[in-house]
Amino acid sequence: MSPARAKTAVSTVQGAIVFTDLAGFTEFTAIQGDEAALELLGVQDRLVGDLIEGRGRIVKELGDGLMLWFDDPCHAIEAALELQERFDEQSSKENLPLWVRIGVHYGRPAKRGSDLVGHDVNVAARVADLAAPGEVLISEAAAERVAERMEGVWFEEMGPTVMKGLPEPVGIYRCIRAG
Amino acid sequence: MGVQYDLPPDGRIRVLSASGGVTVIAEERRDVEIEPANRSVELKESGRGRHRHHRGILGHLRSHEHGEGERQHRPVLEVKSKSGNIEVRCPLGTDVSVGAISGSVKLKGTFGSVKVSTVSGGIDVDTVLGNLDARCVSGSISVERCAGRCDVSSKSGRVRVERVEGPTHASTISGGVEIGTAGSDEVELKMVSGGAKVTVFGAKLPRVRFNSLSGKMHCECKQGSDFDLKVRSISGSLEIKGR
Repeated sequence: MSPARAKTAVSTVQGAIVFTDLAGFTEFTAIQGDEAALELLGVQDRLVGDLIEGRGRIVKELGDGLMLWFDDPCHAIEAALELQERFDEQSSKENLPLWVRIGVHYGRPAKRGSDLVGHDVNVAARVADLAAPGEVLISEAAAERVAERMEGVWFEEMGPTVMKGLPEPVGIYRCIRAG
Repeated sequence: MGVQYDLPPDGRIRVLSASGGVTVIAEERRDVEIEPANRSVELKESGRGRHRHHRGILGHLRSHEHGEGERQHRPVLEVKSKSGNIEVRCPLGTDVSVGAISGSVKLKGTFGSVKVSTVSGGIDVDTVLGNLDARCVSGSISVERCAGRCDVSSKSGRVRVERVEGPTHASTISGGVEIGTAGSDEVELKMVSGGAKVTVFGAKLPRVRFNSLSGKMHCECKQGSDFDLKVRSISGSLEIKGR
């Protein structure tokens, strides 16, 4: 019997991967305590749950961040912008200086149970890493698929960005609600 | 001695570097000189040729330089470097974008619009007459002067802008922020644990809105309504001085 493993077919899926990160969560927890931190995560869960219903799913929780999946990149960007807006409203109402940083990429990751893995997942994580607090950044691959289908959203070119571990530069755009 | 290239009228420069420092010098000259000579250099027509797919995006592009919705078909001189330091000399007022991973990025002289992103290298910029977007994950950002819109963001590094004249948005997670503003446009700062020092030039009076969980505000100048200064932090403090 050959020691080499037989290659198994990789199951992939095409769509948009979204990473979110709650900027300042560690400091917030240190100042406000664990109970307030859990409450805040509950608020985030409710907001995200409302926004993705029927459009996407939570792939996994990453501490204070989330990895989300959407079949349609327009839904991903719409949800990302709405999450920013609702989070901003919530933090203004409750006087909490907290922000979300969001990165979106379109690609074909491999399925691993309910999880997704692969190069496109890594790209999405890197895009989120570059986002400033309160910002939604998307890759060029995502922008190409949504630009003509999204009314009322601007895509501001940030230029190609070289990212750690990625062999090719990734074009990055900032999403802004028009008006 | 480097290699010279012609930069078409209205041409931009883009430098992409995987590792190694990037220095771009804007000076009195008409061509572009790149050193060392063995770097990949390509002239691209943005919006055409290899970048044809940009058209769809540009339909909704918001361009700082050209106004909302206008399309840009500007030639780009793209320089790619895998490793080692690289130096680019270009005409004064050139629009430049730089993407780098680990090396520091230095822009010396006076530029048009500038976009710089790095992962771990610092960013050092002299003068930007147009708009500036500088962001890094762990490096620090230092800018002498930005006459247009100024967006600066670092996750763990410090951000310093000596003088801004346009609307300014600066953010850090753990680094401090120092901004000198002409007081003619909105300044918005977001910090998690870093503090902020704001210097207001020209006797302008800020309308200050400071929101923090545990940070304190110390304002040495009078407040008024010349421009909005919005600062939000988790634990960072705010110090405002007039000059």
